[in-house]
Amino acid sequence: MLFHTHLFIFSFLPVALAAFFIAAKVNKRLPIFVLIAASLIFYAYWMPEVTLLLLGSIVFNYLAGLFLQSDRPKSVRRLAIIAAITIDLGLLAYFKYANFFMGTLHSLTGLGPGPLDIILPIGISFYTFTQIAYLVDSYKGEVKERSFSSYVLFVTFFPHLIAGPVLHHKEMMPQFADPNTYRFNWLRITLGVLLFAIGLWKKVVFADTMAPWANETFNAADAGVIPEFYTAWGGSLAYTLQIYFDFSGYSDMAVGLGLMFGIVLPINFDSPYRSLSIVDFWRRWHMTLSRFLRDYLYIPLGGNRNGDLARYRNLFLTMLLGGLWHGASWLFVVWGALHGLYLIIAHLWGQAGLSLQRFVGKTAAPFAGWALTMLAVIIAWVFFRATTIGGAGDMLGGMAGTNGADPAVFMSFLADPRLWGVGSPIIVMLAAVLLPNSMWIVKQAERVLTDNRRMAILGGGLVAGFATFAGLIFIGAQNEFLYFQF
Amino acid sequence: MSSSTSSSKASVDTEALGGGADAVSGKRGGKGSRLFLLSMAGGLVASAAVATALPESWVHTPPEFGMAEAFEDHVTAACAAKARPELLIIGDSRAVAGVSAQEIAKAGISVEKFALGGSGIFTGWAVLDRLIDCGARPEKVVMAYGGVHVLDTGAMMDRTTNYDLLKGPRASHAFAMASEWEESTPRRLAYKAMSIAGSDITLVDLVLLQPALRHILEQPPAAVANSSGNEKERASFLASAGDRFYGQANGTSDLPDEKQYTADRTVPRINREASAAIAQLGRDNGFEVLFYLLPVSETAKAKLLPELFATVQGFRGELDGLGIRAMNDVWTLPDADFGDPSHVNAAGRKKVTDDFLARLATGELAVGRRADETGDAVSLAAQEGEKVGQ
Repeated sequence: MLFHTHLFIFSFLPVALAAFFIAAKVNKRLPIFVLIAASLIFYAYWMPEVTLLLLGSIVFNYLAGLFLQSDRPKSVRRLAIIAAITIDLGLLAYFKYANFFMGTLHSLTGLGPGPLDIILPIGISFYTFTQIAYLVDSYKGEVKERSFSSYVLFVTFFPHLIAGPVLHHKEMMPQFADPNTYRFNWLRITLGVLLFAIGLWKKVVFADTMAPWANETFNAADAGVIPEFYTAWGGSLAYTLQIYFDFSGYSDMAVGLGLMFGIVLPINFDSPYRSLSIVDFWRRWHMTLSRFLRDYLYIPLGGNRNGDLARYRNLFLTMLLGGLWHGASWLFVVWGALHGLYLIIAHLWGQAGLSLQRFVGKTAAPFAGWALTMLAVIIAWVFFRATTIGGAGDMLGGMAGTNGADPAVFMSFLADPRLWGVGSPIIVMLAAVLLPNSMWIVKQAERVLTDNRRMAILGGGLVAGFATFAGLIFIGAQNEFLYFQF
Repeated sequence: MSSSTSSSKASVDTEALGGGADAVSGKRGGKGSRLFLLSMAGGLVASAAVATALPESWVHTPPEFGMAEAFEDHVTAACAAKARPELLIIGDSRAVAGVSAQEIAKAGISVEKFALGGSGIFTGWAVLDRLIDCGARPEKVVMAYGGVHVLDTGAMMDRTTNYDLLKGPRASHAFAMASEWEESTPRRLAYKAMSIAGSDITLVDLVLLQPALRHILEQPPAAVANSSGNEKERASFLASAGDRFYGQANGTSDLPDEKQYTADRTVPRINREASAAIAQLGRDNGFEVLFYLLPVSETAKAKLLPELFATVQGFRGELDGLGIRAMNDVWTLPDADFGDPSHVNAAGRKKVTDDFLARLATGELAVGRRADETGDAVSLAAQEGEKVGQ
């Protein structure tokens, strides 16, 4: 089931909310079971049979967690955690990467049957990572809450189940144990509705209207057509905006839904396209995945503890694997490697005591930093979006002007009637770079609501109503969230 | 990740997003929240009201809406004139393209054609019911349909996203009948609701309007183009007495809409019930009802599932029992006579209309009175000249 469908908004969500709060009146723990049931229905709606895989994974990891939390000798627990993580990663590897490796093996050596016909269970990357973190913390003795129902809800809670945010049990389990969570709370519901509406707008109005611009260019490049300069830049910029609004829109909806059920989820984006450096970008983009990779990959690899060379190696490996986490394709590996290189260069730059101010002056330095960062990010997105290495090369060639620049293309863009619409590329770009982000809006809203500032509330409510109506009108293209495939 | 990112802000921020003490306790913000939600609901309702009130010719894309408006003009005029044509034709887009009202009028028969793209047998009945109710009295009624509309569910909501076909004082009755005859439960409920409250209050109009509204929100200049295109189409379709071509190619080898159906496709109940209701109107008001099947291309006949043609032919056989005289069987024209996979071109229209007139003649239709002898302003307007390939 998708958040941006009439079925979800007008049927599933109201029923789930009503059942949740009615259950809360009946019994303290009942709402947890209502949410688990709702989450499983939500997940099974797509493909019921893979729900068994999800449930199997939950039971296995919960039992493994109990074993790791026990007072058995450390050597035994060490073997157990290695075995458990191997099984988790083995499942992930089978479902997500077997096609990739078999295909690569076949194309390189002619051995094997080639790509296998394996269906990727939706959300497997997210729930596997979430549970590996739980296992590691169980091993370290950092797990306090052991309730099975809370654990099942922590993994399955439908707002985050299939595309994140990547949750940590430490921030979720205590909320499930807190009776405040299950109280009907007007403020949280209102903030949740507002955030959901903003996310819906970002997804269906901004991201989905960018998709055709991006698809047209990338599909042509993947088919071997080298785009000319303006077309190539238009397509790559459109994708840059599409992926941001698609994924941050989804994340906003997820956080908003969590709030409606009284549960606070971590924020995932903080205006990444305003970043003035690549390091800054990674503090603002997919923040929960960055946190996971830092805590459970970069630091265990040694982090920055063993000198600069090891630090850069760890950084590069972390980004490379972060790229591969997104999907079984060499293009994701290239994307991760590029970002690894960007980060290494940024740190070397800083260590050498260099600063953009020295080259362009104090006033221009932020703009230059922003432009350089965006250029690096856009180039990397080309590899992320293209479906073939050749297609990515053709896109970059086009952006470099190898196929010329036709001003008529730019003029036809200026004459395109879509430029005047609510999803105009210009509006979308301004929204990404200049307008306040959803988190800021919700923070302001919380202040206004608690202070009961009537005029602001009435005005804000009306605007939210108009915008929500437009968002509902835009539902229909049914583009899946891009991050569902990861 | 790197030491620089170790201060990542990804965590449950207890000071924001509903995580603050006020929000957790729920002691503050309740009043403001209720006011906000109320105001938001007001914004939603106001937006829906504005969207519903928008001039539809700005919202819908031509040509369908312009044709539907012309169709409505035609119905209104026929009602005002209490038209008494010798021949009244109801039908779908294949009748729009194939059975030329202007050629029939030239042959000396006073005719009113009420055919429109997407209008199946049920909507044909609804239009006829409305015309009879307002005083129109034809001598003969021909149901002119392609096989696709024998097999189609006739679901108004599937085909009328560009216009509302059921209008006027009998609309409520028509929706009530649809709810009785429809097989799909959700549609039955929707039609019942519309029969009671209308299509505005039930938000059905708004739902149907959604793709068109989205289009003009995406491309506001399209609204102006829609309006002028629809007005041109409206004038042109009315002036041509409901004759129009959909494609002007000199032949086609593609398959028509029937290609969507599987071999087990049956005639939906709503089509049988509507046909019976048309026959009943004939008996009650003293006119004969005939059924004319529009042709398919030779390629379509060869490549579509034979079971579909057998089903259509079977329905044609059942009509006698209802008191409807079938004028022809499943038939074909060469591919060269089709302007697109479903509709005939100018050459095909001539052949279809000639065939239609010949069959009418053998049916002993009284030929001789010219349309202008009826004093029917609608038919006179229709003779101002056919516009081929509008």
